[in-house]
Amino acid sequence: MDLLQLIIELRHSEPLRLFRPYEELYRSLTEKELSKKEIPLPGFQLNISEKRMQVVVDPRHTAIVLGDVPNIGYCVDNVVGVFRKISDLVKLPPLVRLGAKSYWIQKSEVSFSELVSTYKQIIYKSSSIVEDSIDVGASFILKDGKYAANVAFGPMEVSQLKIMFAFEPPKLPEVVSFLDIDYYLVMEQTELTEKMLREFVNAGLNYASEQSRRLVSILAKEE
Amino acid sequence: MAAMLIPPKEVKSATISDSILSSPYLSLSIAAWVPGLYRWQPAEKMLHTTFDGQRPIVFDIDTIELPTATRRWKVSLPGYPAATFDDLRAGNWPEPTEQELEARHKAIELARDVHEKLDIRPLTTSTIIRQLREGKLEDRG
Repeated sequence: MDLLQLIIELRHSEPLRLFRPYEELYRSLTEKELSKKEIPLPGFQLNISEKRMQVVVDPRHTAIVLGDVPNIGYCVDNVVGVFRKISDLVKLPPLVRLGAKSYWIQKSEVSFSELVSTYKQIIYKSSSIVEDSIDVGASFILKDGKYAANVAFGPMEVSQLKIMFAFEPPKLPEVVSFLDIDYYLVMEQTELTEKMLREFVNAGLNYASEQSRRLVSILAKEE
Repeated sequence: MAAMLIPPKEVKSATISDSILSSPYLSLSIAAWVPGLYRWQPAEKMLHTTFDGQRPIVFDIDTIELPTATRRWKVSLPGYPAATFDDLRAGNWPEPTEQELEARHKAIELARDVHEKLDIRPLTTSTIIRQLREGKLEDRG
């Protein structure tokens, strides 16, 4: 399958100090903590058209969205590059979650309705609801050591596929098998290191790539 | 998957509620989060990902300089001035030219000749150790 979009998200245990200037000012002037954590500033989003990239820094999250992805090495390289730049400016709070959400597609050689039939045969046990359905999708939660993955897939037509992406790919097939893998690690407050981020993005994309091959293999048996 | 993914028209422009997201990352545009509209809940604990209903301030730029490997590594392939690091990383190696194929063929032929004329045999580690221990060359007859 082809990797079309990747979102890497760091979820922080507390809001970034960058977004809490009033809290800092209050503490500095009164030597007391604010009873309620106020976050008066909105998040920041940078859309970079040439690189087909979005960078989002908001109080509790830091994320990068990559569209038009040529290969896994490119993703790792750019994600680490962006976070290195952000880290130069602001110290990121400890993490509670790391996520890598990737979208994959495989062009279908059969029509949408035929592809739906294939999915019905493979994924679902026959029943009146399954037989009557005109479209299907599947969601699973898989475990991978200390990581987990929300995995969703199904047949999709180009009209629906177009709205899936932050940056629409230039050419999309009419009918595809669509795969959405949200690979994540939930943790107790952990300091982020570049090595950790690099390894996570690699692990997430390699896992997703493996799952995409597995899905193609399963579908091929029925075609 | 259309039935599961396309949101009802009335919620297209509304802020997505975190409680219905399968992957509640960020307040990104709906295009990024449509898969989150599956009517399905993950096992992991849900977190509120928006605050005070504020949307991020958006800036649009053409490009950005990043400290990436692409910038650090310069590729110089003789005969292929256009080849870039990203090409090679993506596995897009340039096809060998006719001259290169011919040169490789000649090199292989030459190696075969040398091998036959000199009767070269692989020198294994165990052979080397034995020769060193015995202090003499192995009889190659």
